[in-house]
Amino acid sequence: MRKTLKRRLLLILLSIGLLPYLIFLIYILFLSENKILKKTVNEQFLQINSTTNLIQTHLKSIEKEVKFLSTIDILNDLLAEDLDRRILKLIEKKAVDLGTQLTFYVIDTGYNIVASSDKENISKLFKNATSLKNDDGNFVDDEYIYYYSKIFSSFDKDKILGFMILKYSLRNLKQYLISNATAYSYLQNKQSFLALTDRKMFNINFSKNNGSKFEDEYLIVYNNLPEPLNNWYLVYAVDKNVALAFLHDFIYLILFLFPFLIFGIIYASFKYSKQVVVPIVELNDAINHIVKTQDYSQVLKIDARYEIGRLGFSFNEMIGLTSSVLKELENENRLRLERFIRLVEIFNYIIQAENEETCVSMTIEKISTFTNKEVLFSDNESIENENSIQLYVSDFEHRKKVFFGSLVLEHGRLKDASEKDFYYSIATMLTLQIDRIRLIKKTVSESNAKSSFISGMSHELRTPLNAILGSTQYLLSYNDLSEDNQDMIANIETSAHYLLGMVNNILDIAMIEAGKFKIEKEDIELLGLLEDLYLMIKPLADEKGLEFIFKYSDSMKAKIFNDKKTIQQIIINLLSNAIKFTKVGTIEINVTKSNKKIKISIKDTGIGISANELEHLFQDFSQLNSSLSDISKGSGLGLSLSSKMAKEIGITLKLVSDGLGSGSEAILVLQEV
Amino acid sequence: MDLLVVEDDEITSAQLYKLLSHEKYITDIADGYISAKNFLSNNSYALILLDWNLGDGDGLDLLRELRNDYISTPILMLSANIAIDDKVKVLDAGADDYLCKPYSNIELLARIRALLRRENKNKSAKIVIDEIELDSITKDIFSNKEQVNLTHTEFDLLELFMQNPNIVLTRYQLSEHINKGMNNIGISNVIDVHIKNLRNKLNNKKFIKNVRGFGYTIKK
Repeated sequence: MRKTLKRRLLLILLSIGLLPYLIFLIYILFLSENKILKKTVNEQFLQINSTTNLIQTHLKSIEKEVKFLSTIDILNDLLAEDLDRRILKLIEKKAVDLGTQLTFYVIDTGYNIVASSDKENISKLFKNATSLKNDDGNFVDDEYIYYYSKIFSSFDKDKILGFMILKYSLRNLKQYLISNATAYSYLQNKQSFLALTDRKMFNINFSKNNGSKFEDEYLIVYNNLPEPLNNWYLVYAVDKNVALAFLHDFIYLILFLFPFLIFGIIYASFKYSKQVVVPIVELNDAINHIVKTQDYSQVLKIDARYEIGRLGFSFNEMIGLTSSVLKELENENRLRLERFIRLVEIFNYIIQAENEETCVSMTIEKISTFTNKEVLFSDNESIENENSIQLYVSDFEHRKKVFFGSLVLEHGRLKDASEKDFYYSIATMLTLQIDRIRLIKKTVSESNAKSSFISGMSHELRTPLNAILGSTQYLLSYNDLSEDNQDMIANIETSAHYLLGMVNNILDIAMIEAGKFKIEKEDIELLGLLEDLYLMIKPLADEKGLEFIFKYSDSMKAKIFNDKKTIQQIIINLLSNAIKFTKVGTIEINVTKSNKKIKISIKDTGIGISANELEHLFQDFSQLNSSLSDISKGSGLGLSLSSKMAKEIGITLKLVSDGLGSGSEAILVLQEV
Repeated sequence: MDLLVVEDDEITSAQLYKLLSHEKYITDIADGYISAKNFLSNNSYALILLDWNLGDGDGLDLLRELRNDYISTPILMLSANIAIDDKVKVLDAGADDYLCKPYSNIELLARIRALLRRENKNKSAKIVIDEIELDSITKDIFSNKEQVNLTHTEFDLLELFMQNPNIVLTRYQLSEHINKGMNNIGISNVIDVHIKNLRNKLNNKKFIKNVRGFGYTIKK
């Protein structure tokens, strides 16, 4: 942008400066010369006319002189053929007066020269006698004008004595001609082209009375001379250079000034384009700098006047305004950030509060430390004005908000929305923390209630069972009872034993549901554990004549990290179930592994499970297809408990069956370490 | 040998008193926390059986107090409360052993004996009854001088019988012994199978006697 603008400006300024000059130059060089020449021609015409008039006047006076001389009385002597010497003297004298190259003749009627200013001609015959008319007049021959006038006798006015003739050479008109270095004039005959000049004569076509002609070096102007010189022209030749001398001088001057002018224009163009562009460039640089540094406090130094200067000034004003707005924003942001940080601090502080009273007092304490403003807490619900914030907390029992108290700001109204937000945020935090405290209290007490219920249940159920079992064992172990009594007490013990199992299962379920189930994870060699359980259970299968198979790959290793006791419990439950519900056939434990997932399958050829039963399988007390009369079949809690335990320790338990009579398969999936 | 039983349940304490007296232990019964403090301030005991849940206090608190007072009497902690039972917690508080109610009498007596260090003094590792010889240390069994190979479970059962001759061991006691702490109602009849196998291996059908379908015993 910078270069383009500068160049364009320069170009415009240069063309504005140079174009008129060039036009002027062209005009002078090609057009003004003709004009000047024409003007010179006109001037010469004036000159030539005036000269022509002068010549005419001159010739007229000569003619008059001749007439006058012819009337002089002494010319009467002409008849006496003895011309008086006085006549001779007279014409000689006149000849000297009128010019150098002239000759007076006095001829008699026989055309003999009686007297002449040139004595040699006397007594000769006048050559041009035929040109003499019977009147006074003149004629031209060669370069001479002949003026003649009849001489009458003083006595007899009708008697012609002879003629007074003046032979007048045109060369006498020299006085009317000019001849100098720059211009000259001469007379020329249009027929004979005889030119009375020593200098160059020009070949002119004298078809008009007057005219002009441009020769190489000369400007020619010509004019026809008056009667009797009809064949003669006065020619003026003016040196062109002289005519154009001023013009040429002027051109030289201009050409001489040209470099200075160019320089001046270029200098001015540069200067002004710089004056325009540089401040713009500076402005642009400054704007770029501001954009880059984000420093809006800068003041632009624009070294320019007029519009650009005003632009700079406006820009500074705008930047100043922006800067102050930014500062204002920054201050506001700082204030907001400060408040935010304080909010966070207050939050971090009051979140430590463990009861409602300390929570309130901690909040008030923090507010006064941060703002130096007093805040009071009031539980009076009737206080409701602009400088109080009412607090509503949750009533979890009734699921609604209830009035807790008000924060009363001692210093009066809140100034702005931001300050208001600040205090309302604190109020919200306070109520949330109070909610939290209440909720924790409630949860803890609920949790404690659950724990103490389970613990109480356990205590209440086990203590009597302990008494029963302790007593029955004592009686059976040490006393010699009658067989009937022995049977009865043995029944008590069996029932108590069964009851204990039930109690254990129920307490396990209760603990799982209360979230109190204890998990103690350890490293377990799963195959070893299964082997032990297999050996433990095997006698039961053997007793029923069932085939009991434990299959696994010899190369397999199955290490897991889990709760050993719970896994044992689940597997015993599943195995004892399988044995319990299988009359003939096989029970197979099959351990496989893929992708670190260990799958334990316990498959039996027992009574199987119907699709309908599968749905309710894991519900509490849903022993399948049986009545509680046969206590050996268990509590009906086994599968439900196993499933819950499996979930607790993060393993998958799934039961599949193709229906009643098709056997069933329990699948456990565990994650290998 | 004086024992103190701290137990708030009267039936339990009466039953314990009977059991322990039968085993020739001199036993005091304290029915609560305060009563126990009284007994302990006036007498010294060889062993304290301490119930966790006392009517007027917490057995664990009493245990801690005793240990804080540098009373090092062995203490066997008893509890019916499986929900808060934490063996580690009890042992950390200074108890010497821990038994969860309901316990088998035989198990309780065995623990008491162990705590009183009677086992090693009064009983040799070898027990011989009739033609059956059992070595607790080497785990060797001889029947009619012939060595018999038993599984762990079978050995444990035989050892329990031979340590408690003339006492009827119920199926509950036996299964409690071999499946320590495990909920085993589903497999309590596994005892019968083990006894059957044991008889076959010992090649002696009459050594372990069946007591009317609820228990077994051996006679010395």
